[in-house]
Amino acid sequence: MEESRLAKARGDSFERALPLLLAYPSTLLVVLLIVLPIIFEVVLSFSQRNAYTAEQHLIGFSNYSRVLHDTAFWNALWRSSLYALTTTTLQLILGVSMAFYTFRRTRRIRAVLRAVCFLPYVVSIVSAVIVFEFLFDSQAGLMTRIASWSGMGGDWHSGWKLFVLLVLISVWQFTPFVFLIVLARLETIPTGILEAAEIDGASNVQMIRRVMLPQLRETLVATVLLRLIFMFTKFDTPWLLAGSKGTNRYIETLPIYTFRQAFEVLQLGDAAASGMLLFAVTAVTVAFAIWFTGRKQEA
Amino acid sequence: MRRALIRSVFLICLVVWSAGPIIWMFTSSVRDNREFLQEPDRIIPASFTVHNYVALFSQRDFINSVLLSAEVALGCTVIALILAAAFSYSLARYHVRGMKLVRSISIWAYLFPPVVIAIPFFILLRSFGLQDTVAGLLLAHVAFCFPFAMWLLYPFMRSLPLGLEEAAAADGATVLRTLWHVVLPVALPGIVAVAAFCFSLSWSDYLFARVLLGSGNRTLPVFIFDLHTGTIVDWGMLMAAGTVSVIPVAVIVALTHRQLTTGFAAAGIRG
Repeated sequence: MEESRLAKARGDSFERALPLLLAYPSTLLVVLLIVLPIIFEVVLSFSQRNAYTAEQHLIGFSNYSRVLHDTAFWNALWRSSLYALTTTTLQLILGVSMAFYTFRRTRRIRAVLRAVCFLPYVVSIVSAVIVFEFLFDSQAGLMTRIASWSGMGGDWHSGWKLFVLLVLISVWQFTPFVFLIVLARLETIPTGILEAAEIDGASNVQMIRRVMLPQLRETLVATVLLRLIFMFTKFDTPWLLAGSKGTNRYIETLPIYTFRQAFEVLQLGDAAASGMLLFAVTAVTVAFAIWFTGRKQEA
Repeated sequence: MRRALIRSVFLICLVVWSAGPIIWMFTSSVRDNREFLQEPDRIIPASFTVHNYVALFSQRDFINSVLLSAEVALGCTVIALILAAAFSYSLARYHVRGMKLVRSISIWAYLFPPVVIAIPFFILLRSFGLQDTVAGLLLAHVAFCFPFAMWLLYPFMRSLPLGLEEAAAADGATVLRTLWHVVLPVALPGIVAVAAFCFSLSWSDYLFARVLLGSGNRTLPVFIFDLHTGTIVDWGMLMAAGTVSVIPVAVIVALTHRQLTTGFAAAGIRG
């Protein structure tokens, strides 16, 4: 036992209390700041709470039923799903191609590219949103001009085009996530395998399809899962993009619906119920992914 | 020849895609504002001015928001780092009852969307009298950073060879000395990565800063966003504010990018 070996090497009572001293502050933090809010969230979703007087009493499932009968909720669920699916797909395609490209360059170029491709992630979401709003501004926007040369002119800040802009910002900002994970995994492939394939005269396409992709499978499954969850629950990007222009049903995602219920409509119970449903979707996705990968390994 | 051409085109596209918007933000912040409307097609600036920065830094509200953001981000980094390092070391070395449970809870809690957590957090802070206080925001950021800080540090602590510590103890070093001189240096890459993550998460956070603080107490992201919702948008000043907000994180990433990119892949960081 590691514990007893260390205890033998050390001695006094302070040192015996050390493990507890190291562990308890964090335990307190987790209980007070993570467990307690989550329990409260669950209770709140079954309660009616007055936002001003803080009176609260249990009312069973009526919050859930009200939310589930709200067409705005279903629109939000649909928008979130669409948003998560399109952005995840695009991030995956772009991130993996960027990683393949970077991986096949010389060591020096690879180091530079790694830093450059990481850049969008460094920018805060607020800054990313304002830069793209500027780029697509109807009067002063550089991209608006370029788009209008190619016949895609018009206002990017209303209608379905705002959704396109939202997808573009999100793909730009979060692709580095996929890029870095895939690149890190590629770098752990034993060089012997790659060299053997090269000696056998494998083309670039064959290299990618037959050698690199099979090695990446598990990493890709995990990455897709994480991206789906984070994009489905993403609040800041659509909220900040919508914020200055009022509501636009194309980008009213589920996190935004939840936020509005809580802090604009002040229906805290409804907001909690909608939040629990949002969590339920992510939890089911994770459970399905775990079951699916487990089943594959057995087969 | 053709292959080299395709390769360099791809390279240029990659750099323009990743760095373009950021370069555009910076160059626009040092241009004369009139240029945007008179010559919107111009990519290379024709003018250079620091007027936007002067205008920005002469606003008391802006300075306050930078200071507040720095205060919260530094505080969050230090607290989350100390807690996570102590916890993950203890988890790797000793068997304290319930610790594994705490670890799995904090990892599962990670699946809870921030916007969902913000609601009970807001109500709980209010009932503890911590609404609209910097301490409340700090607590929220620490709670938010702790799970992945621990998740990232645990493998480092786990990989420390026990022999080193035993040797130090046998030589008569106290536990604290051992932690400081033996454990800390070996875990340093992980600690650097965690510090960089905590700082940038807290520095960039909009949601909690908006919900938990009132309009008198604005962090930099909230300030920038409010600057943007006015009826007349001053793009030059907005780009200057955006540039200022990017600088600290960019400096940190430049200094620590080696640890960051490896730690990043290991931790599955939120984003």
